[in-house]
Amino acid sequence: MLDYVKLITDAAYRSTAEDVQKLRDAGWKEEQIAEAVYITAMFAFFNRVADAFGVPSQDYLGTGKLTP
Amino acid sequence: MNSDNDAKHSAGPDSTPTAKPNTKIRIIEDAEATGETAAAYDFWRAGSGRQQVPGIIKCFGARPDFLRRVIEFGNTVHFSEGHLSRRYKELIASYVSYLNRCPY
Repeated sequence: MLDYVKLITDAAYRSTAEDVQKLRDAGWKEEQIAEAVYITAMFAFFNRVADAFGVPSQDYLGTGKLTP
Repeated sequence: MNSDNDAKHSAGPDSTPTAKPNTKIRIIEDAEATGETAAAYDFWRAGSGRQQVPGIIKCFGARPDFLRRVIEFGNTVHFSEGHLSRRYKELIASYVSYLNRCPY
Protein backbone atom coordinates (compact mmCIF):
# COMPACT_ATOMS: atom_id res chain seq x y z
CA MET A 1 0.00 0.00 0.00
CA LEU A 2 2.77 2.42 0.82
CA ASP A 3 4.34 1.78 -2.57
CA TYR A 4 1.03 2.79 -4.09
CA VAL A 5 0.90 5.86 -1.79
CA LYS A 6 4.35 6.85 -3.04
CA LEU A 7 3.25 6.40 -6.65
CA ILE A 8 0.17 8.58 -6.10
CA THR A 9 2.33 11.17 -4.33
CA ASP A 10 5.05 11.25 -6.98
CA ALA A 11 3.14 10.54 -10.19
CA ALA A 12 -0.54 9.78 -9.80
CA TYR A 13 -0.95 10.26 -13.55
CA ARG A 14 1.21 7.15 -14.04
CA SER A 15 -0.83 4.93 -11.71
CA THR A 16 -2.66 2.10 -13.48
CA ALA A 17 -5.55 -0.29 -12.89
CA GLU A 18 -2.92 -3.02 -12.42
CA ASP A 19 -1.44 -1.05 -9.53
CA VAL A 20 -4.87 -1.08 -7.92
CA GLN A 21 -5.38 -4.75 -8.71
CA LYS A 22 -2.16 -5.54 -6.82
CA LEU A 23 -3.70 -3.90 -3.77
CA ARG A 24 -6.88 -5.94 -4.09
CA ASP A 25 -4.80 -9.09 -4.44
CA ALA A 26 -2.98 -8.09 -1.25
CA GLY A 27 -6.36 -7.98 0.49
CA TRP A 28 -7.21 -4.28 0.46
CA LYS A 29 -10.89 -3.46 -0.03
CA GLU A 30 -11.97 -0.93 -2.67
CA GLU A 31 -13.11 1.66 -0.10
CA GLN A 32 -9.82 1.31 1.79
CA ILE A 33 -7.92 2.06 -1.40
CA ALA A 34 -10.17 5.04 -2.02
CA GLU A 35 -9.65 6.38 1.50
CA ALA A 36 -5.88 5.91 1.21
CA VAL A 37 -5.98 8.16 -1.86
CA TYR A 38 -7.99 10.78 0.04
CA ILE A 39 -5.42 10.84 2.87
CA THR A 40 -2.49 10.86 0.47
CA ALA A 41 -3.91 13.81 -1.47
CA MET A 42 -5.08 15.59 1.68
CA PHE A 43 -1.56 15.59 3.11
CA ALA A 44 -0.14 16.74 -0.20
CA PHE A 45 -2.41 19.72 0.33
CA PHE A 46 -1.35 20.28 3.95
CA ASN A 47 2.33 19.69 3.16
CA ARG A 48 2.30 22.21 0.32
CA VAL A 49 0.71 24.88 2.50
CA ALA A 50 2.94 24.21 5.51
CA ASP A 51 6.09 24.30 3.36
CA ALA A 52 4.99 27.38 1.39
CA PHE A 53 4.31 29.28 4.63
CA GLY A 54 7.45 27.83 6.24
CA VAL A 55 5.66 26.72 9.38
CA PRO A 56 8.38 25.69 11.84
CA SER A 57 8.40 22.02 12.78
CA GLN A 58 6.83 21.32 16.15
CA ASP A 59 9.83 19.13 16.95
CA TYR A 60 7.69 16.42 18.52
CA LEU A 61 10.68 14.08 18.60
CA GLY A 62 12.81 16.65 20.40
CA THR A 63 10.21 17.65 22.93
CA GLY A 64 8.75 14.17 23.29
CA LYS A 65 5.27 15.73 23.54
CA LEU A 66 2.55 15.22 20.96
CA THR A 67 0.69 18.43 21.64
CA PRO A 68 2.23 21.79 22.66
CA MET B 1 24.77 31.45 11.06
CA ASN B 2 23.62 34.64 12.78
CA SER B 3 20.03 34.67 11.52
CA ASP B 4 18.85 34.25 15.13
CA ASN B 5 20.66 37.44 16.14
CA ASP B 6 18.97 39.35 13.33
CA ALA B 7 15.60 38.34 14.67
CA LYS B 8 16.50 39.62 18.16
CA HIS B 9 17.96 42.91 16.93
CA SER B 10 15.00 43.70 14.73
CA ALA B 11 12.81 44.11 17.84
CA GLY B 12 13.96 47.78 18.05
CA PRO B 13 12.31 50.58 20.08
CA ASP B 14 9.18 50.58 17.94
CA SER B 15 8.86 46.79 17.96
CA THR B 16 5.47 46.81 16.26
CA PRO B 17 4.61 43.41 14.72
CA THR B 18 6.97 44.15 11.84
CA ALA B 19 9.57 42.02 13.65
CA LYS B 20 11.04 39.43 11.32
CA PRO B 21 8.34 36.75 11.08
CA ASN B 22 9.75 33.24 11.50
CA THR B 23 7.62 32.07 8.57
CA LYS B 24 7.99 32.85 4.87
CA ILE B 25 4.42 34.13 4.58
CA ARG B 26 3.06 36.07 7.52
CA ILE B 27 0.85 34.04 9.85
CA ILE B 28 -1.72 35.62 12.17
CA GLU B 29 -0.65 34.35 15.59
CA ASP B 30 -3.11 33.36 18.32
CA ALA B 31 -2.65 36.64 20.22
CA GLU B 32 -2.92 38.86 17.12
CA ALA B 33 -6.09 37.32 15.70
CA THR B 34 -9.13 39.56 15.64
CA GLY B 35 -12.64 39.46 14.21
CA GLU B 36 -13.48 36.49 12.00
CA THR B 37 -9.98 35.08 12.24
CA ALA B 38 -10.15 35.03 16.02
CA ALA B 39 -13.59 33.43 15.80
CA ALA B 40 -12.26 30.73 13.46
CA TYR B 41 -9.34 30.03 15.82
CA ASP B 42 -11.86 29.69 18.66
CA PHE B 43 -13.85 27.29 16.47
CA TRP B 44 -10.74 25.10 16.29
CA ARG B 45 -10.12 25.41 20.06
CA ALA B 46 -13.69 24.38 20.80
CA GLY B 47 -13.41 21.37 18.53
CA SER B 48 -10.01 20.21 19.74
CA GLY B 49 -10.21 21.19 23.39
CA ARG B 50 -6.72 22.65 23.08
CA GLN B 51 -5.61 26.28 23.49
CA GLN B 52 -2.68 26.77 21.13
CA VAL B 53 -3.72 26.72 17.50
CA PRO B 54 -1.32 24.60 15.38
CA GLY B 55 0.75 26.40 12.74
CA ILE B 56 -0.86 24.59 9.82
CA ILE B 57 -4.31 25.79 10.88
CA LYS B 58 -3.08 29.39 11.30
CA CYS B 59 -1.86 29.29 7.71
CA PHE B 60 -5.52 29.69 6.75
CA GLY B 61 -6.00 32.71 9.03
CA ALA B 62 -6.26 35.00 6.02
CA ARG B 63 -9.49 33.27 5.02
CA PRO B 64 -11.31 32.28 8.24
CA ASP B 65 -14.28 30.97 6.27
CA PHE B 66 -12.00 28.57 4.42
CA LEU B 67 -10.17 27.75 7.70
CA ARG B 68 -13.40 26.33 9.14
CA ARG B 69 -13.86 24.15 6.02
CA VAL B 70 -10.27 22.91 6.33
CA ILE B 71 -10.94 21.85 9.93
CA GLU B 72 -14.05 19.94 8.86
CA PHE B 73 -12.12 18.57 5.86
CA GLY B 74 -9.54 17.11 8.21
CA ASN B 75 -11.94 15.91 10.85
CA THR B 76 -14.27 14.22 8.40
CA VAL B 77 -11.84 11.73 6.97
CA HIS B 78 -8.54 11.90 8.74
CA PHE B 79 -9.21 12.38 12.40
CA SER B 80 -11.78 9.59 12.55
CA GLU B 81 -12.01 5.84 12.07
CA GLY B 82 -13.14 4.99 8.56
CA HIS B 83 -12.37 2.24 6.12
CA LEU B 84 -8.83 2.53 7.36
CA SER B 85 -7.98 2.81 11.04
CA ARG B 86 -6.89 6.21 12.26
CA ARG B 87 -3.47 4.74 13.08
CA TYR B 88 -3.02 3.51 9.53
CA LYS B 89 -4.05 6.91 8.18
CA GLU B 90 -1.46 8.56 10.42
CA LEU B 91 1.11 6.17 8.95
CA ILE B 92 0.17 7.26 5.44
CA ALA B 93 0.13 10.93 6.48
CA SER B 94 3.61 10.68 8.00
CA TYR B 95 5.02 8.82 5.03
CA VAL B 96 3.50 11.28 2.54
CA SER B 97 4.83 14.22 4.58
CA TYR B 98 8.28 12.61 4.48
CA LEU B 99 7.99 12.12 0.70
CA ASN B 100 6.88 15.75 0.34
CA ARG B 101 9.81 16.82 2.56
CA CYS B 102 7.53 18.57 4.97
CA PRO B 103 9.24 18.94 8.38
CA TYR B 104 6.08 20.24 9.98
